[in-house]
Amino acid sequence: MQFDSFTDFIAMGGHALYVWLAYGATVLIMIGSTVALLLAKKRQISQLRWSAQAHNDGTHRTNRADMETGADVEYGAEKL
Amino acid sequence: MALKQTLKELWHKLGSPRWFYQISGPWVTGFGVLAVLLLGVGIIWGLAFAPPDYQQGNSFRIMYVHVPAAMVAQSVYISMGIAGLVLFVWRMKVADIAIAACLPFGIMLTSLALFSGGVWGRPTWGTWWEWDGRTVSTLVLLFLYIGIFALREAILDSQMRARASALVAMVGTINIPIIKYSVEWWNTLHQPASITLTAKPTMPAEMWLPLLVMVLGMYCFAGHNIITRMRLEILRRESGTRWVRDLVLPESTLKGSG
Repeated sequence: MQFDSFTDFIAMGGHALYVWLAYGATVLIMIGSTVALLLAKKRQISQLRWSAQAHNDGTHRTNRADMETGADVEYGAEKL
Repeated sequence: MALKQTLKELWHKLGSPRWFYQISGPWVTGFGVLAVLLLGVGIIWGLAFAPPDYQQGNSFRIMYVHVPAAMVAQSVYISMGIAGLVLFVWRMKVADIAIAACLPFGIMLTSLALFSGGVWGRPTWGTWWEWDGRTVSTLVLLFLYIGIFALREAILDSQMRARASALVAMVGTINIPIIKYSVEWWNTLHQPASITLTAKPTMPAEMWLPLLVMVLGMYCFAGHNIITRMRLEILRRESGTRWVRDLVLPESTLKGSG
């Protein structure tokens, strides 16, 4: 440890402003960008999940519609 | 011959976004863990345990964030230039995804290098900003990153966008040796490199060891950040495909047929 006390450490030999600005910006950018990325990932996954579900429900409905109109009886039977 | 065949297959696979997504999951975790460890150790070491410089005192500690940021900002640009070449010659989709992911990270890190440089320059050179060779060429690096980013936003056609940004990325690599040799070519306030691969460091070990840790940590941070961005971009581009649907809805293969 190069400093005698915590106050000494904060003061950085009179260069506190510069040292803490530089380190603060670095840590802020690192944590900030990582958090932003993780949030973006979460958002994207839930969006993809939603559209994948819609896709599956879509096929489901089409099949049901076919069956209701009786257009494709064999198709319905095949599924049993 | 067998080796050549294997390499060819690997090269082919590398071009597939889906394959890249599948293999890169553990890389993100690995880089993330290493980045937290190395940067955590490096920041505490640099701030509290490294000895103060006999001329600059404690403001010299800014080096431990400034130098890694500047180094990695340049390395990421070189990677982007290589990705541009790969895209141009082999039309590899993953290369375009890599360029897209490098840009926001590059903008962020180059800005950090310039900011920490200014903050270090104030107590050391007596000025926040100086038009010296290295500072200006680093500013050009930032403009290259922003320029390619803007170019990609402006071109709607995806093939055209990929080729145009690859070309500018390649041409822009000329700026990297300019940054490197700026301290030798022009009178400058920046000092020449203190640590090189070929010569003994001019700093004592207790000063350059934390720097080494910080540089490695910054590379891991870049790896984590850029690969995560690439994976998000892959999911976005492949959102209509079956493998992405299966990935986000693992049970969809069963329910989807009902």
